[in-house]
Amino acid sequence: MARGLISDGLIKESEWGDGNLQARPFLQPFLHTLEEFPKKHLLQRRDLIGELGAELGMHFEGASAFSSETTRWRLDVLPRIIAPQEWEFLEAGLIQRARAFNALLSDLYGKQQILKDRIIPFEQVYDDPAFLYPCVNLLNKDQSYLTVGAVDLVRDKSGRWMVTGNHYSTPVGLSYILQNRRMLAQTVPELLESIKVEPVSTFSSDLIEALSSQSKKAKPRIVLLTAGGQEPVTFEEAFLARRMGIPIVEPSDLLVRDSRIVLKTVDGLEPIDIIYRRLPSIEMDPIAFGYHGRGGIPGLINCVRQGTVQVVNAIGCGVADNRSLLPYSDRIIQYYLSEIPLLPTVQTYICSDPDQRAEVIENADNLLLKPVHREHEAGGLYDTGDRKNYHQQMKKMLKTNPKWVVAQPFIDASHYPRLIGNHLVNRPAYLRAFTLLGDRPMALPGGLTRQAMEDDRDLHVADFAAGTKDTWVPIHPNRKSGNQRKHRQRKPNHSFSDFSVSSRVGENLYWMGRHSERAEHTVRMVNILLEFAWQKLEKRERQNLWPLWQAAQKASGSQTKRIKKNPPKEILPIARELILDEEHPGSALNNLRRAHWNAAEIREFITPEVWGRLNSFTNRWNDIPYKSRIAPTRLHPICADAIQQFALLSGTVNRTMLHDKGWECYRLGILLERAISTNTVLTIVLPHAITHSDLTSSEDTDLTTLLRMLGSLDAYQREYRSRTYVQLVAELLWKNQQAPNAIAYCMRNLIFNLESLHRGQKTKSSPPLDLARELKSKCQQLNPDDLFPNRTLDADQLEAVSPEQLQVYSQYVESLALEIGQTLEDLHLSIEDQYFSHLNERGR
Amino acid sequence: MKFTVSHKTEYQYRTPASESYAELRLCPQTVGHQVVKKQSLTINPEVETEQYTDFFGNRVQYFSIPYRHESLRITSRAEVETSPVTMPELATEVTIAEARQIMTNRLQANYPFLQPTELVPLRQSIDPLKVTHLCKDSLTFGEAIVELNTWIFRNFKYKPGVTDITTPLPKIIKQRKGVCQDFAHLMLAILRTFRLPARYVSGYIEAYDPETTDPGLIGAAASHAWVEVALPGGHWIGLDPTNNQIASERHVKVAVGRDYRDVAPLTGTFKGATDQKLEVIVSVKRKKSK
Repeated sequence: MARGLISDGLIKESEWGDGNLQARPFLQPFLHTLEEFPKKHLLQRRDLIGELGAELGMHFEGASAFSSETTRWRLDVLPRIIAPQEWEFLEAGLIQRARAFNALLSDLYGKQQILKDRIIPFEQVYDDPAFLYPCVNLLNKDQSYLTVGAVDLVRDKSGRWMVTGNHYSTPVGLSYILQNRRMLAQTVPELLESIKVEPVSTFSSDLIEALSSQSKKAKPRIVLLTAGGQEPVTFEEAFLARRMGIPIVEPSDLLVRDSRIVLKTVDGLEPIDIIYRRLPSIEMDPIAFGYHGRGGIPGLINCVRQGTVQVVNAIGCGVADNRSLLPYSDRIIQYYLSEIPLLPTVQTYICSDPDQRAEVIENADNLLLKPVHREHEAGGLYDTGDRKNYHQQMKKMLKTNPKWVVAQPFIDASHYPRLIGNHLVNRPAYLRAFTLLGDRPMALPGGLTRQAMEDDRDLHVADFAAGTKDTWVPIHPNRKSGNQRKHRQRKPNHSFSDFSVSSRVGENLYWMGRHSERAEHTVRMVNILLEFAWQKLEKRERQNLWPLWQAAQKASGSQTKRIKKNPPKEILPIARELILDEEHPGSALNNLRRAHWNAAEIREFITPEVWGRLNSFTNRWNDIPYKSRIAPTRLHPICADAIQQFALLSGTVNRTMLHDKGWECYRLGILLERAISTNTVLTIVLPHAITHSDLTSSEDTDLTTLLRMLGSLDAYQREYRSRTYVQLVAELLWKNQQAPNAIAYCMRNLIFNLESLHRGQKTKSSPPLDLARELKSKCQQLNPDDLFPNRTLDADQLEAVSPEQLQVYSQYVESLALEIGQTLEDLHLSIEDQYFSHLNERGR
Repeated sequence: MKFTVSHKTEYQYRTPASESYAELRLCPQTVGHQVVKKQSLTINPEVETEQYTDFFGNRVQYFSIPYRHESLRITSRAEVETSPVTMPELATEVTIAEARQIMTNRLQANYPFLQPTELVPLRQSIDPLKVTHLCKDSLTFGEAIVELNTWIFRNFKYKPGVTDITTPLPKIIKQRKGVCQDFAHLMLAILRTFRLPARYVSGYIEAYDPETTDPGLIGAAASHAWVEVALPGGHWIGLDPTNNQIASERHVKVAVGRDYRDVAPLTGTFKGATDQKLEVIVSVKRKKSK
């Protein structure tokens, strides 16, 4: 029984108790259920949470919303339950504070009346790097600044709640709240049933509603703008975007066109009404703020100025997080709202003030020093992961740049029991609470409770807390119900389906297809070619096989001048270069890495299965030791294994990825690359075969090898049931619509993919479609019987063809192949233009 | 005096550029001693421009060319009439300390022009100059700032090509060479260190007086730069350390800011190869008085 876990001391020393030995009345049903809970079960449920957390961690690698947190999901099996009366007060205080700071921002970026009235010193605002001059007079008076806000709170032992800091620029942590609730609902439903609790899952719809309310349009188009890459908050962003049904985009996905922000999608340019900003303000527009981060969206600010797009939270909000404004919180509330401030703010010393500085220096070890501006946190100064150094660093900063430092007393936070090891242990608890200022201001019932895992005084600060707790707010007994509005029927949000796949996603999938196909092609060719023991071959045999090696080199992108004219003595260096050379840009290894990179760029669109496959394959190759000295006996099995890996990869892609427009782009990449590879090989081998074909032997080894390299020998034998003749090989690989490596096959399927991309659109033709159709019919009209010297009939006729004439044939075929190659290159460019870069769309 | 000012900027891209976006601060406005009579701005390829007024009161035009283009040509023309400027009497009647005292009521408005910026570092960085004696509290304000202007003119050599916008001020101080924007930044650093609000000015200058045979002024080949110092009473006066002058009839002002970055004539981005060719031609022609 869990009864053994709950001691009187535990209750007395924690928020569970009423100050005496009694548990607080509203907790009775919960504690009763907990007491009935077998301890063994509780521990099992705890382990289950660990597993669920690890699963999420696997899915969202490197996820961590707070610098101090490790990637492991450390959610306690027990929730924190806030008394309904306390929450009622908190809710009012949180909304009041958000409204006041919203008004502050509106004023600071407008008339600056509060500065003129000297309520707060203007230097503190003007000196803040987060106060952005280009944003002054940017918005109308009625536009909102902080739609989504959060503050950090601490509750002292007497039950008094206090704010320790604002997160009004880009608050982080919402997804943790939603996930925590989901996990507790799955693992300890009995506890959740014991007490009627306000739901949190509806908060994502509240959020999208609040975002929508920033536009006058009935159905505004909303995107979540992320910095992209491997940011620690990627998990949160992907999760929120999914829950809200809006696309997640990077700055490079957006573009200014005719004074509007448009999203590049494979269907064209889509105007955007609202940007849910998740990157720092100064990274939003390089023209206005200079280059930071990934470059931002040049010209965004001027679209905001014209009101064609709304950014939420507004650009420039960071100044509300300035810690030197914390001591003015009450004045700010009174100044703008004429209300009595509800939530007190923890005492904050401003070290730019000489008197306060002196006090802080004297008590530096008993105070928590913090940077004034969040900008300085990003610079690594606020590395809460390294607590010792952090304190030292802040003390140094207090000496060198006191005006950048504030100090707060350590608050003796109220404790809450947490399951650590096999015991319930009291640990101080902190809360991050969220507010929304849409048409209906509200606070998310509960929030994210954080606790230190160890018992260490230095850890008695929210910023250092590593463990989380789901936070419950029981439905208030006097209120009609827990937010009745939440039970009303919500209109499903359709905005996600309104958007097509973004061009960046399409382009990365396209290149993922091209790079993996190119790598596979190289591996397949080298795998066949390595079967011939080069050292044992006669000179003539080498002469015949050499064009195939040349073709493999050419197809892997080696420059023509680097490809030797005559067969070398040693073939191994070439094979190594083609497969594993890290220096050779076209090696299979590098193409595989590129495919992996493409996938990583759009990680949230790749299924875990594909990601796992691609990851393990790439790692397998990265881990091969001595790549530059590898022996032929090892290289060959590596190729054979890689062919299996590629098959597994493409199978996984086909079976697990959504076959949407992004997938069509992936297919375009595969098919175009395959056509290019086949054509590159033919460009070298066909002209050579015309002049060098060996007629005396019954089998043309090099042509047979060519067919095997292109995986087409079986197709050839089924189609022609004869020995290999050059014109039949050409016919198969140019014209056949069933042979997967034939150009006509690739074009036929590519046309199908292109048509699928235009599904739901009025236009039935496009430059890529026209080019692909043109190339397909061109291939089909080729007549190999006319293009090659006829050698199938009898040897008599052969005599009639002079070497000079053979040369003419050979050159003509080469020029034809080069022409096809050019068309394929044009096709690539027109695909880029049509679906990814949209550079040809002049006006709409 | 009446001038026709034209400022042409042309980019030739090696490979076609796309997604160009730019903000321009090229258009003189009617302010202080100048009246703009006529004005035009043309962009090639032809696109629409929009405009707004920035934090410092400058008129900013902007445009975007999302599609491919091989070149970009921006031509700004203006007809401007200027009148002479002299140091106001009040400035010559007060000391530096008094001027500072009078201006405390405008501290908030002048605050940005007292702060260091990346291009205008204060205090220690100007120590090597040993100019404290030029800015002593007891000196007459109007005379002192003109003295400082002359001091920079005498002690620094105008030499194009030895510096660019990335050259840090201490290096310019060390080598005692530079161009108009360096001298403007230098003067701002000194003035702000002595808590006198000062701002950066971009504009044009008429180099040769068609009516005399003077050696001519420096800075006509491209945009010119000088500084403005806040005066007691809420006005600003322009000082041109490159030419040892008060900015007067032959100066046409375009934009003001904390430093060059706030007033750059063209701030823009594009996608494409970055080895483009840039050509800038500025001309300032005096119209014969009738």
